[in-house]
Amino acid sequence: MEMNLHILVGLPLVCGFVLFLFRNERLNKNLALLVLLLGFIWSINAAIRPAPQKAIELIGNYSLILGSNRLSGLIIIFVNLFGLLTCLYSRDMENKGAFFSYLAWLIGFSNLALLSADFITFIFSWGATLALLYALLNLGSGRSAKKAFSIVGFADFSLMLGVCLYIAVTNSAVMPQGRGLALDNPMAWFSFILMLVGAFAKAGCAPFHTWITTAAEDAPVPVMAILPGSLDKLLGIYLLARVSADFFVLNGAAMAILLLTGGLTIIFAVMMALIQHDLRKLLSFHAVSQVGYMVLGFGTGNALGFAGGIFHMINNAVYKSGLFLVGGAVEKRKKTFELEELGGLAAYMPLTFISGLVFALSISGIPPLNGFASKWMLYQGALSGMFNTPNSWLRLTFLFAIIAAMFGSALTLASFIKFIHAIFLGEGRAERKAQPKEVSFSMVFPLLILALLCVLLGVFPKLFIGKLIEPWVGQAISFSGSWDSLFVFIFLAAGLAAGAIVYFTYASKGTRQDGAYTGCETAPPEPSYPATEFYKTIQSMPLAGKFYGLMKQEALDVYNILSGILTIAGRLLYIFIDRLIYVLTSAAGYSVLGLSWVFRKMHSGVLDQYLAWSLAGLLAMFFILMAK
Amino acid sequence: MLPIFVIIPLGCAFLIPIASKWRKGSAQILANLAGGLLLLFSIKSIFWLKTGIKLYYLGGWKPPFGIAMALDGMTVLMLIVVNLIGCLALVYSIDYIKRYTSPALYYTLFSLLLAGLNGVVVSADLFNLFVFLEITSIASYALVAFGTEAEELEASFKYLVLGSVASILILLAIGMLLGSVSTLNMADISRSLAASSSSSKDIILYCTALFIMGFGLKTALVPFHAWLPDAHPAAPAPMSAMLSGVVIKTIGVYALCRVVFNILGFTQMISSIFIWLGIISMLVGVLLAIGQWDFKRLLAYHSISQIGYVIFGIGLGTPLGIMGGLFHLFNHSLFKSLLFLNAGSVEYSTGTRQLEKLGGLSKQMPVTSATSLIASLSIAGIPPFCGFWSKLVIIIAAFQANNIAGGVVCVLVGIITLASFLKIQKYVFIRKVEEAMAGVKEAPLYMLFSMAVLAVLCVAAGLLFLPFMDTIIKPASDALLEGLNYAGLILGT
Repeated sequence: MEMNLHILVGLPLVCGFVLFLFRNERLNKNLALLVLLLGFIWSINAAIRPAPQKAIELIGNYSLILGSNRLSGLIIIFVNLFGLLTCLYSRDMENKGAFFSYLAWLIGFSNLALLSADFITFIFSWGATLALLYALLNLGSGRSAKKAFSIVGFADFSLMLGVCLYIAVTNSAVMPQGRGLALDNPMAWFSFILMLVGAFAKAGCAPFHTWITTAAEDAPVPVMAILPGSLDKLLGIYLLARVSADFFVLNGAAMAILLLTGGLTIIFAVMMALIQHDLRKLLSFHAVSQVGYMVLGFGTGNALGFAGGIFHMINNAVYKSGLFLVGGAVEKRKKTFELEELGGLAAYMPLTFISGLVFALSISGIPPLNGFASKWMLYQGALSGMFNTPNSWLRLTFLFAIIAAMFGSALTLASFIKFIHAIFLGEGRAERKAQPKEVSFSMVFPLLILALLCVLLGVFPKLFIGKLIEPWVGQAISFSGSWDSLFVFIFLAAGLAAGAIVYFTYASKGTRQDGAYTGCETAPPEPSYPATEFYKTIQSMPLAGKFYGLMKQEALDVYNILSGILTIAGRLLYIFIDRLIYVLTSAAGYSVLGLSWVFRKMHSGVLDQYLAWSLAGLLAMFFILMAK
Repeated sequence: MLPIFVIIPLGCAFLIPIASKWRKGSAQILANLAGGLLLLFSIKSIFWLKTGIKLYYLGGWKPPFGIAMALDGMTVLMLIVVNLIGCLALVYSIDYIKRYTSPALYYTLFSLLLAGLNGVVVSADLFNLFVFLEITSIASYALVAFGTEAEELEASFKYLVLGSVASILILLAIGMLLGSVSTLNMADISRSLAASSSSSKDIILYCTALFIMGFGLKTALVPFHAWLPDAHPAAPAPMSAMLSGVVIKTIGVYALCRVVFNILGFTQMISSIFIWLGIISMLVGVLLAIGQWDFKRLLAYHSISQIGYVIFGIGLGTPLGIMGGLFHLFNHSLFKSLLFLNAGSVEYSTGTRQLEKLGGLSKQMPVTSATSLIASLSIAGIPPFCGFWSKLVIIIAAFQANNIAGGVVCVLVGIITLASFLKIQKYVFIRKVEEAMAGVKEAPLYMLFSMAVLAVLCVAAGLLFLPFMDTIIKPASDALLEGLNYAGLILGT
C-alpha cells in the first residue's frame, strides 16, 4: 500500500467538501458513513503496518511528508473508529448545519495531525481542528463556542510558540522520534511548559478544562461525544505523550509538574462532578477528571506509567464517548438532561441501560472492565516510580498522586452510582410516566460496540497492550502481583449466570406486590430519595463548602481570569496608546493651525513690507554667497 | 522651425484686434487655433530632439553676433507644459470669458503671454530671454488686472511693483555679465566665464545672488512670494491656471535653472541654497494654505508649497532628484491648472469662492467634483495619481542624498496638503448644505472638456509614469545635468 497515509487524510477532507457543497440530508448521512467506514478500515491497515515517512509533492517545493509510528498508528484507529460511531449515532439525531462535513473534516485533520512528521504540518492541522471545534460547538451555542475557542486558541498559540522555541533550539522542524531534548536550559523549559499548555487545554486538563464544562451545557450530544469526549482527548494526550516521551527527556521537576497537575485535576473535577444535577455537566466533569489519570501516567516517567496513560486514554475515549451517547439516547426519549426528572428507564431501555452500566463501572475502575485494567497499570507505574526515585520531595509528590488517584476513583464510583440510580433505577417522576421505547438500532449499535470494547479491553488487556502499546514503549510491560482478568471475568460471569438462573427460575414467575401493613392507620407517603440529593451534605462541609462556593462563582475559571486580564490590558492600551496618539495628533493638528495663523497675520497685504522681505532675501543671498 | 513658437502667438496677438474689428468672435477662433497649432508643434518637438539639439540663427548670424534659438530636452519639456496648459486654458476660456466685456483684449493679451513664454523657453541668449520674460510679465500684469475691480487692480499693482524690482535686478545681472565677458549668447557667456581669470568669480557669485532673487521672485519662492497669493486668485480662472501652472515655472524655475546650471555653474553652495529655499517654501506655503477660506487663494498658497518641492528636488543636484523635481514641475502644471479651472467653474456657477458659503456641489456639478477629486488626490500624493510618483521620486532622492530632514519635511508637507484638500473636498463638494446651492448648474461644455482632459492626463501620467519619464523628463534632466558642457553642445566645439 503505497499511498495509504495520504488517502487517510485526503479522503475525509474531499468528502467534507462534497458534503459542504451538497447539503442533502440523506446524501450527507450515507456518504459520510461510507467514507468514515473506509477510513476506519484504512486506519487499521496503517496501524498494523507502521509506514515510514512518505512524501507527496503538493505545491512547488513543498511536499507533504506523512509517516505513522506505533503511537500514532494506535491512536489513528480509535480516531477513525469514533468518527465512524459518531456518524452512525447521529443518523437519527436532528443535525443542524453542515455537521457531517465538519465531522469529515475533523477526522481528516485529526489524521493529518497524527500522521504529520514535521512540526509545521502538525501545527497547521492542529489549528484546523481548533477551527472545527469552534464550528461544531457553534452548532449548539455561540457562547460556549467562543469560550472554547478562546481557551483552546490561547493554548494553541502557546503550543505554536513552544514549537517555535523548540525548532530554534534544535534547529530542525522534523518531529523527533525519541532521543528528545534534555530539560537543562531555560529555553527548553519554556518550550516544554508552552507545549504542555497546548496539550492540557486540548485534552481538558485543569486549569484549562472550563471550556468543556461550559460546552456541555448546550452543545449537541454527538459533538460532546466526539470532541471533548474522545477526539480532543486522543489528540491532547497524543501530544502529551510525544512531548514527554519523544520531544523531551523528563526530569524530576517536570515529572512533579505532571503528577501534581494530574492529581489535582482528578480530585477537583470529581468533586465538582459529585454535585452536578445535569447529566451532561456531570459527564463533562468526569471527562476532565479522567484526563488527570493520563497526565499522572506520563508524570511517572517510566514505561509502565506511559503505557498506562495511553491505555487509559483509549479506555476513557471508549467509555466516555459511550456515556455521552447514553446521555444522548436518554435525551432522545425523555427530552431532558435533568437528573431529577429522569428515573426508572432500565425497564424500557434495557440495551441502553446495560451498556450504560458497563460504561459506569468501567469509568469507576471496577474489575474486570477496561477502566480497572488501565488504572491498575497507572497505580503500578506510580508505585514503581515512587520506589525508584531517590528524591524525597518527588517521592512525596508520587504519594500524593497515588492517593489522589485512588480517592478520585472512589468518588467516581460514588458519582456514577448516582448517575445509574437517577436515570435507570428508582421510580421516575410521576408526571413523566409515559413509557419510552428503546432507541433505534443505529443509536444503540454504537453503544453496544463500545460496551463490548470495554469488556474486551478489560478482559484481555495483555493482548491489546502486547500488540499495540508495547511496540511503542519499546519494552515488555510486566505487572507485579498476580492478577488475571480472564480468571476474574470467568468467575464473575459464572456468578452472574447463576444469579440469572435463579431469577428466571423463581422470580420471573411473578411475585405478589402489596402495600405496607399500617394497621388501619393512614399510610405515610413513601419516602423518596432522589439521586440528586445523594451527596448534598458534602456542600456543607467546612473546607469543601468554600471550594464549591468559589467554583460556583467561576472565580477559578481560567477563561474569566484571562478575559479579565485582557480587559485590563485593553483598557491600559486604550489609555496609554490610543489616547496618547490621539492627544499627540490633535496637538500636531492644532500646532499646524496655530503656525498657519501666525504666518497669515504676518501677511498684512502692505506692499512695502513685501518689498522689504524680498530685499532682505536678496541681502541674505549676497551674504551667503559672498561672505568668504 | 524654432521661431514658429514665437511667430504663431505673436502674429496672433497682432491679428486679433484687427480681425475682431470686422467680425466679433474671430478672436477666440484665432487664439484657439494658435493654441492648438502650438500644442501640435510642441508635441512634434519631442521627435525633433531625437536627432540631437536643434539650433536656429536669426538671419544666419552665428553667435556671438546674431540672435540664436536652441531646443534641448529642457526646452521640449517646457514647450509641452506651456502649450498644453495654454491650449486647454484657451478652450476653457471660450465659455468662461463671456462674463467679461472685452474678450478680444483678453485673447490678445493671452496670445502675447504665450509668445513671451515660448520665447523664454526657446531663446538661447540672455538678453532675448529677458525681453520675452518682460513680455510675459507685462501680459501677466494686465491679465491679473483684467477684471478691473479694486481687488484685481491692487493685486496687479503689487505684482507689478515686485515683478519690476525683480526684472531690474535680472537686467542688472545681465548687464554685469555683459560688462564682464562682452557677449550675450548663453553658451558664449558660459565658455568665456569658464576661461576667464579668478577675478570674474566674484562677479559670478554676485550675479548668482541677483538671479536667484530675481527669478526666485518670479517663481514665488519664500521670502519672495508675497505677490502671488494676491495675483493668482485675482486673475480670471484660465489665467490663474496659466499663472500657477505655467508662468511661475517658465519665467521662474526654467529661467533660474537654465542660468544657474548651464551658464554660471551649479555649485555645492547653490545646491544648499536651493534646498533651503525649497524646504522653507514647502513649509511656509502649506502652512499658509491650510488656514485659507478663499478657494483660489488656498490653491495659490499651495503653488508656493509645490514649487518648493520642485526647487528642492532640483537643488539636490543628483540625477534622481532633478528628474523628480522636473516630473513634479510637469505634474504640478497638470493638477494645479485643473484645480484652478475647478475653482473657476465653481465660481462661474455659484458666484463665490468662499469655502464657508459653498457646499454639496458633488450632486449638481458632478464633472467638476470628480475632476477636482482627482486633482486633489494628485496634489496630495495619493497613488496611483501622478503627484504620488513625483513626490516619491523626490523623497527617495532626498534620502539617497542623505538629506533626511528634507525628505521628512516632504512627507509632512504631503500630509498637511492632503488635510487642506480634504478641507476643500468637504466644504465645496461633499458636505450637505441648506438650499442656498439649490439652483446651481454644472459648468458649460468647453470648460468641462478642459477639466476632463486634464483629469485624464493626471491619471495617465500616474499610471504610465515610467514611459513618460523616459521620453520627456529624462532628456530634460540630462540637459540640466550637462551643466557647463551646454556651451560645447550649442557652439559645436
